[in-house]
Amino acid sequence: MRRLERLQLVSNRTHGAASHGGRRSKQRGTSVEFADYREYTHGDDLRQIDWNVYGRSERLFIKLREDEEALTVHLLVDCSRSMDYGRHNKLHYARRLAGALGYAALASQDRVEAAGFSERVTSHLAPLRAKAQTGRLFNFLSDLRPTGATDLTSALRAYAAMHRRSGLVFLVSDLLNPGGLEGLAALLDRGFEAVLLHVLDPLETDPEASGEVELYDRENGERLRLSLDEATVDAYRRRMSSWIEETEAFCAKRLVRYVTISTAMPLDDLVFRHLRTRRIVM
Amino acid sequence: MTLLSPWSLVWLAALGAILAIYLLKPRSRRQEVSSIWLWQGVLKEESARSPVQWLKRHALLLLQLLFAALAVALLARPAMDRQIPVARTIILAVDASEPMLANDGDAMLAGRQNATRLDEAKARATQMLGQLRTGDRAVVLAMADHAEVAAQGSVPGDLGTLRSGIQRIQPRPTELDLGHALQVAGGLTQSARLGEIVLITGGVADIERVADRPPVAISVMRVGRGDSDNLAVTALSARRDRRGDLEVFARVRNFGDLPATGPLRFLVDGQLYHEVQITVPARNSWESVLTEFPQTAGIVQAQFGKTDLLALDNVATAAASAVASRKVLLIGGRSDQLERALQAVPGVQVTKSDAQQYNPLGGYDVYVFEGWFPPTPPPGHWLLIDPPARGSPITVTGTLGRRTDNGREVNDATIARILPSPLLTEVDLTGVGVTEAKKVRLPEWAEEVVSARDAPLVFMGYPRPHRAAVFAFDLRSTNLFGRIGFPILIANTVNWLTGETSGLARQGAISENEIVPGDALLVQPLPRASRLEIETPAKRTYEFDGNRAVRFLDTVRPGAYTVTQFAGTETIAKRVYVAAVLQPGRESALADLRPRAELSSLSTISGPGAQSIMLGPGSEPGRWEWWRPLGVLVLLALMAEWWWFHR
Repeated sequence: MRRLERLQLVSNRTHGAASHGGRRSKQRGTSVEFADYREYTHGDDLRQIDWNVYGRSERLFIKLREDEEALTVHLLVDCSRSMDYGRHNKLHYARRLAGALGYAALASQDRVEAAGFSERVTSHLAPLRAKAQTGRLFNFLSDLRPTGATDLTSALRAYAAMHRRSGLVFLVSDLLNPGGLEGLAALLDRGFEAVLLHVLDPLETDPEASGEVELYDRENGERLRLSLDEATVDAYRRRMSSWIEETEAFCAKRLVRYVTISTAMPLDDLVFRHLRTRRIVM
Repeated sequence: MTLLSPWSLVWLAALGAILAIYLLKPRSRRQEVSSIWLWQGVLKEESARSPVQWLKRHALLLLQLLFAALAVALLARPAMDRQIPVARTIILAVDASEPMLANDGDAMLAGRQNATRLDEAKARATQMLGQLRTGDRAVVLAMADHAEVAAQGSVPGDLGTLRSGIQRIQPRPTELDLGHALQVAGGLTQSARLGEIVLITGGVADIERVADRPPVAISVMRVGRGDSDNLAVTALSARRDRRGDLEVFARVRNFGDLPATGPLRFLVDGQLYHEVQITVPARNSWESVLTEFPQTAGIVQAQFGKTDLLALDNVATAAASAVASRKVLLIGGRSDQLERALQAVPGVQVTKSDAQQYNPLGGYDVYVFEGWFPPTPPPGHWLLIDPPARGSPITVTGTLGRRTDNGREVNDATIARILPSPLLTEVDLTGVGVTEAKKVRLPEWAEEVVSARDAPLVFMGYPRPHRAAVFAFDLRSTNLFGRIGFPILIANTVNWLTGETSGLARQGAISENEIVPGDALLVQPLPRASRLEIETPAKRTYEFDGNRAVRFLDTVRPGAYTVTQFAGTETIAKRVYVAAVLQPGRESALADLRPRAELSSLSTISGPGAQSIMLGPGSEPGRWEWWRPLGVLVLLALMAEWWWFHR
C-alpha cells in the first residue's frame, strides 16, 4: 500500500477541475504559482493586470498563474459474465487492478469515481476525494458481481452522459464485444482521457488443442461445435493477435493508451513495472 | 483375384458396428469459454477448408473403418493366380558318342581350332549353366551307349563342380543310345517338381531306340555344322583258310556327297604291309578281299589316309590270331563220338584215360568224367556225364525213364524245359530224346539248362574254384549222337568251361573277339595259367594274377587288346580282342554324320532356334496370397489410428 501511495496516475491532459487537487493543471488558475503573461482582453479580471509590466511597456498584460488541479479518475470495470472466466479469474483480477489504481489516485488527492458495467452501467460509486475513503472504494469493487453480457457501446455512452466534467478513465475490460470500442468515442468526445486495460486470461490467449469440443459461451450461452486441433488453435491464435492489433491501432488513432494484460501476470509486476513502463503510472 | 475364405467377409458387418458406435457416442465434450465470438471467426476460416476439415474431423473413424476393412480383407485371404517360381531340375545331357568327335564344331564357341562337336557341346552346356537360377539343380549327363552322371549339384554353390564335370566328359567311341539316356534323365527328374531335359547332341541318333519319353520338357540343341563328308572303314575282317593263310576283307564307305580318293594302308602287327590307292564314289562303297598276308599275322589294321570329318572311323582293326590252346582229359570214353566231338573243338588237345590212371595232380584245363568221378574234385574245370550213384558231388536220388503209370506208359526223362544258356548256342534240341537219366538234385551252385519234368538233365555252375557242367544221363541213352547239334553242344560246353565266351559283356558284338569300347573285358584264365598280360592299342601292358578272373576296364580306346596267358614262362594262350568303333550292322548309323531330321520330334519345347535354347520359366501355376502386404497395411492402419487417437 505504501508503494501505491508513491504512485501517481499519469494524465496526458489537463481536465477542468471542479476542485483544487494535488497535481498541476494547464488551466491557469488562482494559485500563487506564476505561469505566464498574456495581453489583456475584454472581460478579463482587472485584478489580474500586472501593473508593473504596464509601467514598463504601457501595454496591459494579465499575469497567468498555474492552478493546482484535482484530477478525476474514473475506474470502469467490466462486470459481464465473460469476465468471470479464466485460470485466474479476470473479474477478480480487474477488481484488484482497479482497487490499486483507485488507491494510488486517492493517495495523490485525485478524485476517484468507479462504476461497474456490462450491457449498461450496473453500479456506480460517487466520487471519492480522500484516502480515508479507500474502504468505500474497495467495498464497492468487491461487491461487483458478474452479470449480463458485454455491451461496451451502450454502457460507455451512458457513463459519458452521466458526467459533465471529463477525467481520466481507466477502462478495465476483456472487450469481448464486437464493435464495442465505438463506445469509447462517446467518452473521448466528452473530453475524457482514456486508458484501456485489456484483461485476458491465458486460457483465452493460448488455448490448448483438446480434440472434439462443444464450446459454451459464458455470456450468452451459445454453443459452438469445434474440433480443437493444432491447426484450429493456431487459427484462433492468429485471430486473437489480429484482434489485439486492430484494437491497438484503434486506440493509437484515438490517443487512447492501450495495454494488454494477462491475468497470469502478478499484480505487483503489472502495476509497478508494466504500467510504469507504459507510462500509465509514475 | 480370388478369395480363399470368402465367408470371412461377414466380418464386414463390423464396419457398420464401428459406424454405429461413432454416430451414437457423444463425440465432443463441453468446454466453457468466455466468448465464442473469436471462435466463430475461426470456424469461418475452417469452413473455407471444409473437405480437409471434414477429413480431419472424421479421421479417427476413417482410420478405424480402414483398419476393419483391411483386417476383413486379410481374413478373406485374397489370392491372385500367378506363376510361382519353382526350383528346377535341369538335365544337361551331353552326347559323347562316337559321331561327336566329328570336327565340324563351332571353333569360336569352343575356343579351339578343329573343334569337335563334343567341344562345342561342352561349351554350350557351360553356357546353359548361366541360365540357371539360384536354387536350381543341374545334372550333367554324358550319354553314349549308356548314360552316366558326370556332375550334379545346385546353383550357385556347385557351379564350379558342374563346369568341371562338363569339361571332364570324355568321348566314347560308341553309338548313342538315346532311349537309355532319356530313361536315366527321366529317372533323375522323377522326383523333381519341375524338370527339363536339354539334349545337346550332334544329331546322329536312332530315334527308334527311344521307347518312352519322360514326362518332362525336352529340348534338343544340335551342335556341329552337320557336314557329311565322312569316309569310314566300315568292315575289316581276317580269317584263315584251311591252309592257315590269312584272308582280309575290307570295305570303305563314302558317306559324303563327293567322290573321295586316298590311300588305304594295311598294317600287320603294327608294320605297314600293303598300300592301295582307292577312289570311293559319293554315297557308295569300295570293298575288296586281300590275301598274301603273312601266316604269322596276329593283328591286321586298315587305315584310310584322307582327312575327313571324323578320323576315328578311318581306322579298323581285325584279329587274326588262333584260338587258345586248351588241354582236355577224358576219363571214361564210353563212346568214340564224345572223343571226336572234343577233338573237333578248335584249340583243344584231348587226352583219353581211365579211372585207374587218373592223376589228381592236374595239368589239364578241362576234365571230362563219364560215369565216374574222382574222390576229390579235379584241379580244373570239369564236365560230368552220367553221374555215379555215389562218390560224386552230385546227389543221385533215383533214375528217370520209361515206366507205367496207371496203365499208361510214360517217360519221365523226356525233356520238359530248355532254358537260355551259352551251352545251347546254335544247338537245336528239337527231337532229342532221353530214354533214361539219373534223377539228381540240383546243387546250390548250379543253374538249370535242360530239365525233365521232375529233375534237371543238364546244368552248369561254379563249384568254386572252377566251373562245372553236368549231363545227368548216359550219352548213349539219347539220340544226340549223329545230330548236328551234339558237337556244337560239346564245343559250347568246353568253351564255356574255359572262359572262351567271355568278353561279351553286352549285346552288340557278334564276334567273340569283338568288344564294345569302354566295356569291361572279362577274362577267365585257364586253370593252368599262372600269369596274365593284357596289351592295349596304346601298347601299354597290364599284368594280372592268372589264378583269378580278370575284369579289365581300360578299353575305351578302339583297337586290339591282346590277352596272353602264361604257365610259368610258357605262353599257353594268346587271344586278341578288338574294340571296334563301328559295330557290325551299325556302320551307317555311326559313320553317317549328318544329323537326323526326325530328332527334332523329340523336342517338346519349341525354342527360338536349335542353337539357342532358353530354359523354361521355372515356374508353375499357383496362387499368391496377399497376406503379407495386407498384414503390413493392417498394422500401419492400426498404428495410425493409435497415433491419431493419442495425439
